[in-house]
Amino acid sequence: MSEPIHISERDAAEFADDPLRLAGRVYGSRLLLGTSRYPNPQTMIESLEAGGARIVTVSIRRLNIADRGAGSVLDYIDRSRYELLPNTAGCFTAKEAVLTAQLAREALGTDLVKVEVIGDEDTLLPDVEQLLKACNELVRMGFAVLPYCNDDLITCLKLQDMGCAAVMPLASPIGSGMGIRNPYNLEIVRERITIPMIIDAGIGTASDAARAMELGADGVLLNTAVAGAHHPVEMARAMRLAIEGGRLAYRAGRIPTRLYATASSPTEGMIGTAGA
Amino acid sequence: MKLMLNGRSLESECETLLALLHEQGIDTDQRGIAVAIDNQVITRQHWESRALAEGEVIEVITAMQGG
Repeated sequence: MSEPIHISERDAAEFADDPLRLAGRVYGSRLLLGTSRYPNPQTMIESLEAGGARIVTVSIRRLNIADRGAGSVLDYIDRSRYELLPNTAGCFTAKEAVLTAQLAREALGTDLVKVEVIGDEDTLLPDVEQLLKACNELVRMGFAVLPYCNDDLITCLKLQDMGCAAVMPLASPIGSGMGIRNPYNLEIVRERITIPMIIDAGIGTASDAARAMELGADGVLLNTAVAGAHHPVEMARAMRLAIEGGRLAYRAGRIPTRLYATASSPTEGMIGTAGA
Repeated sequence: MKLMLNGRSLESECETLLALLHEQGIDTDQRGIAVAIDNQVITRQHWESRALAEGEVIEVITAMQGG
C-alpha cells in the first residue's frame, strides 16, 4: 500500500472542504494527467504543475536493454509530489492486463492500477467481457482498481459490485477530442453508483472538462487534450480552472432549463404603464 | 541455453536471473523495473535465487509515458 500524497498548504486551503477521495486516499486535485505525447519532458513537467495534478498516469513497457542511455519517465517525475497511476494500455486480454498490473505493482510499489482492456484497435473501445474478468481478478489480488470503461450503467454497476475503487467511463474515444458524446449516460451512471466516477478519455478542451464536472464527475483524466495543444502548459491551466469551475457549479446546483423566457428584471414599475 | 529476453532470443550460460540481468548490462539496483518469467512475476528478492531453464521467456519492464 503506497502512502497518501502530502497535500500542500495551497491545496489544503483550496480543497479543504472538497478533496477527491479515491481508494482510501485524499487528493487536492480532481485533474488526473497523462504523461505521454508532450513535445518534450520539460513541457510535461510544467504541464503537470500548471494543471495542479496529483495523480499522473504511466504505461508499462519493456525496458530498452539495447539503449541503456534511454531515459525513463521516472527520471522526470518527483514521486513525492505525484502519485503514479500505472495503466494496462495496449492489453487486449484479461490475462495480459493482470500480468501488466502485477509488474506495475512490483516495479512502482503501488497498488493503484488503471485497467484498460482494449477490444478494437481503431476505436480503442473497451472489451467489456475481458475488462470485467481482469478487474475481478485484480480486486481479489488487493489492487485498487480504476477501470477505463464504457459509459454504460450496467458495466459500471458490475465494476462497483466487484469492488473497484472507481469507474472511469469514457467521454468519447481515446485521443479523439470529441468531448462528451453521451452526457445522459454519464448522468445516469452518476446517479446510480456510489463510488467515484472519473471521466477518462475523449476530452478535447476546457469546456468538455467543465461539463464533465457539472454532470457530477469526481474527476477528469486526460492526456492528449493538454499534450497535443499548441500551448500545453496553458491548456493544463485551463483544464484546472475548468474542473474547479465545473465542480463548483455542480455543488452549487444549476437552475432547471426552461423552454420559454423568464424575465430577470422586475416586471413591476415599468415606465409608461398604468400605476397601481 | 536458449532464452527469450524482451522478445529477442539469446544464448546464455547464466544460471540465475540476476546473473543474466547483469550479463545484459541492466542496472539491477535501479528502482522502477520488474521481471516476469513465463508470465509469472519474479519479485526482486528472488532474482538471485531464481534458476533459469532452457526456453524460458523473460520480460523486463519499466514505466514509460502513458495516458
